[in-house]
Amino acid sequence: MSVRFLCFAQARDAVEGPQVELEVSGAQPLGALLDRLAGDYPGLQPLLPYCAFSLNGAWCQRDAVVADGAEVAILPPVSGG
Amino acid sequence: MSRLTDQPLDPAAALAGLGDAAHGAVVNFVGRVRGRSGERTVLRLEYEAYAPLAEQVLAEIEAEVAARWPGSQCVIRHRLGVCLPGEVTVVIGVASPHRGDAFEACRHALERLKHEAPIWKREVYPDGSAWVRGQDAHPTSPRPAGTPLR
Repeated sequence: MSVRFLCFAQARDAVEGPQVELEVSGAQPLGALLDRLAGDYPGLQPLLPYCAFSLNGAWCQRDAVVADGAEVAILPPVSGG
Repeated sequence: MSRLTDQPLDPAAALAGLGDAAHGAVVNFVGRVRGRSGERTVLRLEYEAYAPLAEQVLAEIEAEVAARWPGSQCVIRHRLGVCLPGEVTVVIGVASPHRGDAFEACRHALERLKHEAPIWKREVYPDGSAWVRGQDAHPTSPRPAGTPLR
């Protein structure tokens, strides 16, 4: 039972890698999982309030329910162009 | 067709096939790497993207241009990976029946890309590197509104 977090830009630096797996017990709100992740990786804490998120490839908010096997992307403010 | 590439972007090739005889105006935007950022020398930019979602956002922008400026077509291409000063990083082409729409739509497409597409760039200097300050979500964006960093 796990959720995969894809981490980009400053978020990737904060977790020192492109992705992180979090063990979960049943479906939970994204916000709760992010709080756990920020506990494991303190460098994420100041960044998360400014991030957008996607769940299985679609934009989502922190109240989205994340099920086992889901893929969440942590998307810092973008700087393309 | 992929709108993202880690290979050099050729604007002429990217825009080939855009529009036809119905389009009296074509506006192209070509973005390139600046060799300076404020007081600092930029050796290179390093781009990364959440590719599936970035492709989707760029496709949505192309479709929005066609819907909002009737008779218009839009093509967007964006570089990923390492880009040196002077290299092309983004190409946007808009073909419209008349020039007003083409200019307006091209600017809109670029601004929306900069605010919404999940693409990031890191500036590399002779003595370090930094992620470029991110853009806040565009007011019309489905991307949840955040607050700019710093």
